[in-house]
Amino acid sequence: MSALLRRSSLGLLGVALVATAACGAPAQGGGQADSTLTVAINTNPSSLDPQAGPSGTDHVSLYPLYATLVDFDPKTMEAAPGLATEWSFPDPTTLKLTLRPGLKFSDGTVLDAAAVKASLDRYKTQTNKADLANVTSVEAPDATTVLLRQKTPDSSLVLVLADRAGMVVPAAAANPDFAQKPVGAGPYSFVSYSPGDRLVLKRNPNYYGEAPPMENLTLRVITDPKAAANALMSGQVDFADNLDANDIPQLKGNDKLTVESNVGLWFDMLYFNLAQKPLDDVRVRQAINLALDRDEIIAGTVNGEGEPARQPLPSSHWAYDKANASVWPHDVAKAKQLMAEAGYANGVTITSVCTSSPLEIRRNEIIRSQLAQIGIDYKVTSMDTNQGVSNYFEKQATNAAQYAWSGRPDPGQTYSRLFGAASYQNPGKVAVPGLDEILTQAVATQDLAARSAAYAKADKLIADFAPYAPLYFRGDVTAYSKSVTGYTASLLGKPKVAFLAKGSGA
Amino acid sequence: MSTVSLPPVSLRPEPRRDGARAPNRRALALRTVALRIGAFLATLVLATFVAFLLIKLVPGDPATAIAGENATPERLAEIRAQLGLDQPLLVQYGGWALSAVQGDFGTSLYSGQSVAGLIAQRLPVTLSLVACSLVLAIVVGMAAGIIGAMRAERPSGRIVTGVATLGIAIPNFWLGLVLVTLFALWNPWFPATGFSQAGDGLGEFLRFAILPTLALGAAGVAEVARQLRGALLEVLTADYIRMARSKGISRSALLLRHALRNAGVPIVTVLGLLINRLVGGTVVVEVVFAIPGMGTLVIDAVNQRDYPVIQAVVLVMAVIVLVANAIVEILYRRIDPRIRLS
Repeated sequence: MSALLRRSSLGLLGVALVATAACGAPAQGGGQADSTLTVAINTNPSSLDPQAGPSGTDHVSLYPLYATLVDFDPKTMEAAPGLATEWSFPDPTTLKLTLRPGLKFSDGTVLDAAAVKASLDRYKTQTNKADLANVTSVEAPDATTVLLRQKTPDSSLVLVLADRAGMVVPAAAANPDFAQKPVGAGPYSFVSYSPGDRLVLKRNPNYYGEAPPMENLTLRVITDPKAAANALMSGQVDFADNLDANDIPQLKGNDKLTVESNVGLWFDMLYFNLAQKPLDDVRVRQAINLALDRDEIIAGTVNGEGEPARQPLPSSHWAYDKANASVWPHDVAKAKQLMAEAGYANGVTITSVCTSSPLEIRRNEIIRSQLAQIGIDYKVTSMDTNQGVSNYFEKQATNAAQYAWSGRPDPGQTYSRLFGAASYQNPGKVAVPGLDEILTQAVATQDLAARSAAYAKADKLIADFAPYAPLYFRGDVTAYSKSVTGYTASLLGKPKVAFLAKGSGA
Repeated sequence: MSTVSLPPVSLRPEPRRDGARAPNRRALALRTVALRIGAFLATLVLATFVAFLLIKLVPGDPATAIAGENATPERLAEIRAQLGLDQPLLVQYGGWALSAVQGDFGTSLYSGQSVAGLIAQRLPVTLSLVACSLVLAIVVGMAAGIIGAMRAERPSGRIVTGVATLGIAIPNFWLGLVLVTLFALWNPWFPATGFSQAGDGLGEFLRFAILPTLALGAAGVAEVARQLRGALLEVLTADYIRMARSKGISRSALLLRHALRNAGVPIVTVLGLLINRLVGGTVVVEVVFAIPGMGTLVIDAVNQRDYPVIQAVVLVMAVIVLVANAIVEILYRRIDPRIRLS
């Protein structure tokens, strides 16, 4: 294109110059713009120590820094080799990992079985220790073998090691400033971090796998989705997710960008306190699920970019059960009948909380109007998330709450956290009859077919008991420069950006 | 018009009375200064304490933010004990204040970063943004005000006045979005987001600062223009101006030497208020332009109930506002000696 223009008049040359300037957009500071990939992240990492931070939004920053023991196929969430090439259960309560030989952290220290043991042992003392609650001890019989002993058989441990727990940290993690100067074995290593501004990384020469295509990776904190969209459209950043669905038309109108909206594990739901009236009555819970028009909610909130939820996993997941597609059709007449049977023919009030963003408020207004059709006065208060979470889950001050579930690598974690009788997410502490037993069975085997069958059974029990009202799986609105290649959307909804490549663009 | 109004020319204090009361005046001055410093400190304590109470009044605490969505009640209790959140409010505030007095602002509850370090990173950004907006407001605002007053009856003056009124009415975040769309997206002249520190090159700094400065400072320009125009119009109708004019003093000399000086007090008042408003406005404008300043820092901190960070930001903001007010007061006295120690 530029060759052609060069031959024509001066005026056209000028146009070409402006166009090139616009394309090759200002990678800040100038210089080797092409060796740096800039990604927008929508919040500060809560910590760069993978064992300390709690937030699911940290992963985009953690994945490039830390290699995980086990990896996963982003499309199906099936386990794949990571630092460990093989894993097996020599007996039902022991997980054996075989590490790659000659592994090193980015600071050059050796990453062997002893280092993995030290990392896992430290994990059991940190914020996220609940992930390894079932692990009683870790052993390192030789340099490449790690044994994890468990209380009860639990195959979900494999994918737990694809998450935070599997992000191996070196002995340097004992330094008090480790979170400010993190060291891992990921494809990139740490250069600098200024909170609220940017995290700067460079290629790690000690990485075990194929070297990442870019020399530098910069993650810029842009909290406002509109500002992130502007930064993308003006070429300041190359990649961003968590964008606002309402900006899709504008993003698509920019011919330099690819726009995707991929459904992940993240779904919105109504949490029910099963110990409080009227939600202690299964007929009321069923009525709510029938009265909700999920398609209308998707159209009204995220511009149609979502998948109706009738079980806690999206249709592309390996443990998804097709039988659930027909559960809870939109049926106001039947819902009204159930309400009458439950003794609420004259209506009833349900109190609820939600987060105070415009999107959440809009979603809850739609829910309110849909539930009004069956005589439910859905009294929802939008408040700050911290406040709402504490109100509903801890103080049990409302009957219901409308929040999202962000998903976990292994479905075992999702099912037990959402429906387990003792779980924090189940403030009424009411068990779904027979469910705990099936969930224990589901993680007692590694065989995916057997596990899928067990979750299908669990789904039936859940559909009958209706301990919640799932709404929809959110499409993660992602946009990136057309010069960026190598992106695969992750079901987990936490993008891996380490292997994105940016072409010269000229 | 107003024939009864006194000519507001500078009144020199009468020397003989002054001489007689000299010792008294020095004592009075000292007392006033002491009172001012006392009020200054009391305001800081009050501002930080009120901010502290507000954070505590809202349910939900840093523990919920730190422990995340998987938190068990036990884990929450553990974190609360670790952070001292289970202690009485006054003990918590006292502990913070005591350390702060010694220059130790603690670490962020969320990220573990030193709060002083965070402020040191963010403050220059916000201050430079406020300074640019203030300069814009003074230069453009005063020019527009003078034009508006000199040509009050002519179309050009009316247009200036109309634009100024519009400037006050437009919300800064909306203006920011419009500016980005026009001058960063449709015409890629300026960066859509981000900031570059002045120390890293003036050209880059200006390129990044210009759109946020316009968004933040537009209302200030309008305010200064309106107030100056009003003040000038009032002064220009005074008898002594008419007198001066009849003596043949040129229009521009009249304006610069007499009218502008007497319009100074209302303008300084406006600038004082404007600094407060600009400091507050950065919270919104920094989000729109994704600028890593104090505004975005405090928004994150409030969401995470990160009270050491909130407290430090409130303290710094309060100091800025109080210092600005003190400067305004000093300027009052320079401009108008009738304002005595009181």
